[in-house]
Amino acid sequence: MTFPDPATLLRHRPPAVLVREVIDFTGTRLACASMGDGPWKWPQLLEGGAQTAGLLAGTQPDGLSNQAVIADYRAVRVHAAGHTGPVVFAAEIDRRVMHFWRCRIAATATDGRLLLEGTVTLAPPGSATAA
Amino acid sequence: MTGCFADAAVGRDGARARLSRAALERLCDGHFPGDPIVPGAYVAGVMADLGGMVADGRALSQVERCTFLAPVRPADGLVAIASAPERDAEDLVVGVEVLDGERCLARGRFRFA
Repeated sequence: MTFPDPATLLRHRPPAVLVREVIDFTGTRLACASMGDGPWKWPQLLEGGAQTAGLLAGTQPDGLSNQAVIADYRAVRVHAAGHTGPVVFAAEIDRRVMHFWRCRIAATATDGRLLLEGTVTLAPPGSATAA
Repeated sequence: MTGCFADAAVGRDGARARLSRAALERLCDGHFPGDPIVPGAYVAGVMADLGGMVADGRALSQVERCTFLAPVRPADGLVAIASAPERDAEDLVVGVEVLDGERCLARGRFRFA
C-alpha cells in the first residue's frame, strides 16, 4: 500500500505535524520518520507517537477519522527526557474496544535507541474524552 | 513545557499552579486551526512538570496513566493540582489533575525515580 503524505491525512497543521512520511506499514503496524531533527522533549515524542497511532487507526476497517481524539495514555516509559536528531515513530494495534482503539507506540532514535514507549487510546470525535 | 505556569505554590500537601493562557495558546499552534485544543501529550507534560515540583527533584520515569475527560482549550482560570507524593518502593508517584473551575479536564499519575 502506498501511503499518502501524512500531512494530507492528519487534522494537524504545521508546526503541530511531527511525522514526515510513512516508512513502514504492515497493516497493523505503522512507522513514520519524524518531521525534522528536534530537539525533542518527551511530550513531543509522545505526540509524534500519537499522530502515528492516529494514522494507523485511520487505515483499519471501520477505523477512526482524522477527527479522532486522545482518550488516554498508559504506561508511558520515558527512557530519554530529550533527544536531538531524527526519530522513528511506531504504532501497533493492541486492541479495539467498541469504537476505541488502543495502540502501542514507541519513539526510537535512528541508532535504534528506544526513547519512549507506551500505549495510547484513541476515541471517535464527540466521545466524553478528548485531547 | 516551559512557561506554562502563571504561578505555582508548593507545599507539604502537594502543589497548585495556574496555567498560562498565552503559553497554552502557543502549544496549540496547528492543533487545530480554528479549533485550538492543547495536545494531550503536552497536557501530560505540563502535569508531569507540576508533579515534579513535589518529587524531590527526581526525574520522570513513567506516565502511569493520563486520562482526558474533556478537551483542554486555552482559557483563563485553568489550574493544575498535584497531590502529595506517594512512596512506591524506591519511586515517588504523584497524582495530578487539570481543572476548569470544579470540572476535571484531565487526571494522571506520574512516577518519578
